[in-house]
Amino acid sequence: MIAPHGGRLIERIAGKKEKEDLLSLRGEYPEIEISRELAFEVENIAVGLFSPLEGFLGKEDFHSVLKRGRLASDIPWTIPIVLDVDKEKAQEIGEGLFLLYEGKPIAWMEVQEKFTYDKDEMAYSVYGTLSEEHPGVVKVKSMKDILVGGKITLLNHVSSPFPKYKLTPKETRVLFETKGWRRVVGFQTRNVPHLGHEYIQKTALTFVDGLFINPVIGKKKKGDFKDEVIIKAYEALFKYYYLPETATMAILQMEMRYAGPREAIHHAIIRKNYGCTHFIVGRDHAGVGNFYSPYAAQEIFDDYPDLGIIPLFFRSFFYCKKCGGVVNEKVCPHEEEHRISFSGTKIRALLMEGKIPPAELMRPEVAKVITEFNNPFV
Amino acid sequence: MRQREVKIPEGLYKLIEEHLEELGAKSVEEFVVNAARVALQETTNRKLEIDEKEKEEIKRRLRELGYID
Ligand SMILES: [Zn+2]
Repeated sequence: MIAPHGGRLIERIAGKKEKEDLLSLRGEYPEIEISRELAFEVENIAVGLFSPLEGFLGKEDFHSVLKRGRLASDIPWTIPIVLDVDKEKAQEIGEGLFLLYEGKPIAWMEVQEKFTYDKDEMAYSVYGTLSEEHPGVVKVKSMKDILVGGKITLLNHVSSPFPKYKLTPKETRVLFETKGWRRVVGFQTRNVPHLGHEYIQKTALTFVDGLFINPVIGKKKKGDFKDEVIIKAYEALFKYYYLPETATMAILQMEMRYAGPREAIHHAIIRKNYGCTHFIVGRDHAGVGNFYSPYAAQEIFDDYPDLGIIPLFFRSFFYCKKCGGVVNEKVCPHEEEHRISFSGTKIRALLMEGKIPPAELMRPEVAKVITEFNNPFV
Repeated sequence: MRQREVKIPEGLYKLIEEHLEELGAKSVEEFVVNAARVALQETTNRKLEIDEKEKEEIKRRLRELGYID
């Protein structure tokens, strides 16, 4: 089994006794209600998906992540995982704090430090822009003024609309081992699969033992496909076009940040923690609008020779009428006029009208599932 | 970020400098830092062991969920 990021799989889940002990302290420490997105972060830390993080970043790590895309310990880390609170609340916070989600305590936090930060610096470092058109920038600007760093201990898991697809990194590691997969390629997605995705996945799978499809479930932007649509569409693809011996799927409950290159590294680290040895990075990975050049999310991997997971870079695939199949620039010598591109916008427009896209673009079984939804979009 | 100095033999420095392009680095410093990072990553890349009892519990859940037979 491949080592987790930083060498050790973090597990910060309270056992029965510890949970009782911690909960008996309620009333003595301040409590804050956190968003669904933050609750996901807490759980992801606790189960080890964000190994080596054991909690929300402290000041030194926070600045190191912004400035150099690494923790203070030099371990690659590109996305600041932080807890923001307002000034009044920050004054109440001492050594410890309960984090509540939907009124229920989900974690105990040992507060290490509280610090102020520069939102512009944070937004620019992570997203490479200060444009208000970027959803990540808008999010950072709306954050509260104080960050609180410290280790967390999970008291209750966050409920999921797809419990059967929710696996911890320990579980996926045992799963891969049981299936006899030594080399596993991870595929990040926030989309329904068209043939271009399928070809990328299957090309990668040809060289390894197993394929791990890992859709991101959580807050997305308007116009993205709804979570249940993505899951159902992949279920159809699995049923008709994949072998259970070589492919599997689990969800990742996490907010998309659209941070392009930096998020690609973050995504790779998470898949490494799941036990993947390889990770697929396509065109404009985790991008939004035209903020990142199409292959910036591939180029950033040059800065991380010590990442410990092998990125597999793909150019876009398209359907070529002359080749008679799905191909890419590297293998198809034909003119533009013979090619049909997998334009997400085009497929989306057809689906929005309830039409089935041509079979060269999307598997009919997948398209059927999507069109069965009244409104498949967020 | 705080930094420390490390000394390396001049001949080695010059050799690295001559081959920077093939080494895929922009400076001797970048090469040395990255080489150290890669070596450390490989050294600390210990396999994760999960004890048998826990593994059986996990397998039971995976079976219930339909992931394995
Ligand atoms: Zn062709």
